[in-house]
Amino acid sequence: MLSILRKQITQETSGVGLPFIGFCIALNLTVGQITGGLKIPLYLDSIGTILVAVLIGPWSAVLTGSTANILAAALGNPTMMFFIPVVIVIGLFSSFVARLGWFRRWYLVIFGGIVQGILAALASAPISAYLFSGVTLGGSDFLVLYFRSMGNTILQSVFYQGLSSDPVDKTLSYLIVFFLLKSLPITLLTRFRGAHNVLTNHP
Amino acid sequence: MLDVRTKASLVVLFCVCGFTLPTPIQAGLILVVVFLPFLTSSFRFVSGRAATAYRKYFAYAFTLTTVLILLNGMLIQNGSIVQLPFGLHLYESGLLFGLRIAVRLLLLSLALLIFFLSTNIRSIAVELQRLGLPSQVILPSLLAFQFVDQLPIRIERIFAAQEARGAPVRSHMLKRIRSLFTILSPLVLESISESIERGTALELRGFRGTSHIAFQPSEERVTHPAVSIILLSVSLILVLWRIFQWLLGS
Repeated sequence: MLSILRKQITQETSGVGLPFIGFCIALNLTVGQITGGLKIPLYLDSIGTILVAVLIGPWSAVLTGSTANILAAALGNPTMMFFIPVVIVIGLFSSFVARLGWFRRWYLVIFGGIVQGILAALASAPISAYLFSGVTLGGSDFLVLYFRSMGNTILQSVFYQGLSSDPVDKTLSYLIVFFLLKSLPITLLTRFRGAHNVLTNHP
Repeated sequence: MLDVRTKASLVVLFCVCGFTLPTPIQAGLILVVVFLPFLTSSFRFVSGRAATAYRKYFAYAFTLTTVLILLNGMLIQNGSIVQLPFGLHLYESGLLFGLRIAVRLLLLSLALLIFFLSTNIRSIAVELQRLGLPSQVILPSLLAFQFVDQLPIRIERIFAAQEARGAPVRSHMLKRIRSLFTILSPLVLESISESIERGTALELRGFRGTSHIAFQPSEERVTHPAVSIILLSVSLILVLWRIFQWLLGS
């Protein structure tokens, strides 16, 4: 199993893949700077993971998301490290969606983003509830507290908080990736092994 | 001087304590973690930037946890009432719940942060390679650190250029979301071109998917396998003890 995984990662990371993964990890970490600069109340911290999932493959996406979360811990957000299972879900699902060809049509991208958001909320709720009782030192903590004050349990409150923010966040992330890929020249796209996930007439 | 593996084992122990030991002991451990960089050279910050990041996080975390404890005391309305000046009151069970979670979270986050801020990324890469992780897994994190340094400058440059071209970066929400795309698009394009260049450079240096890169340690390695084993054993005992307590229903 491990050797198959290693072989798969080796295949995915050859050539342009490896430096691009490095860039996407950094993109996940720094996109907050852009949203902060534009004063948009969104995380959008999975754009890099989704880009890698579409252009390179599932295991590279898992590697991108996991490394980004570990580095986020190193850069001052230590709770992110415990949410690695969530980025694994995001990486694998995005890649699955890309392989189905959903990144060729905008309406399928929106549908995929909503499903991804629900899956992310489902995956993060138990971690947030059982490890941190809903408090992760982020802005969403106040929303969890609001749901708790309405009489919900911690798990329910965390899940409701996830459901109220994740589908919007992930749908927007999916749409941004979709439009980014549409704006890229075909000559650049074809350098990636996942180009066929985006291009309609690519073998 | 502790090696990376021993330091990581100590951090694991602190994290396990965050989930297994009573709150007063965890509060004591927070004090130990806070003063670790000043007590031992092994946990001294790797750079001035790391020390600043630590101070910033420290201030941020303590402010936020204080607010959260107070909000828990206000919104979770169970137990006896604690009277405050100016006619304000908080609920005891909410306060205690908030305090318990805040202490756990501070211990976990500070322990992890101290480890990363006091350990050279190259030393971590060397250690991960010793543990058997392939170069393809380790190299992206080293590349990411390079990009993390460069991206904010690039973002700043593109942001200013788009603003100068009249992009609605200060308009209403929908227009600002559209501006996000105008910033991300050149950033991704530029970085893909750079990735292609770096990928080609790696291949020209003989690195293909199957190649192995040996990361060189920056300093001579002093290992303390016995200390690591003891720390990890204590962590395991604490976890088993907690599971046992949970099974007994306490």
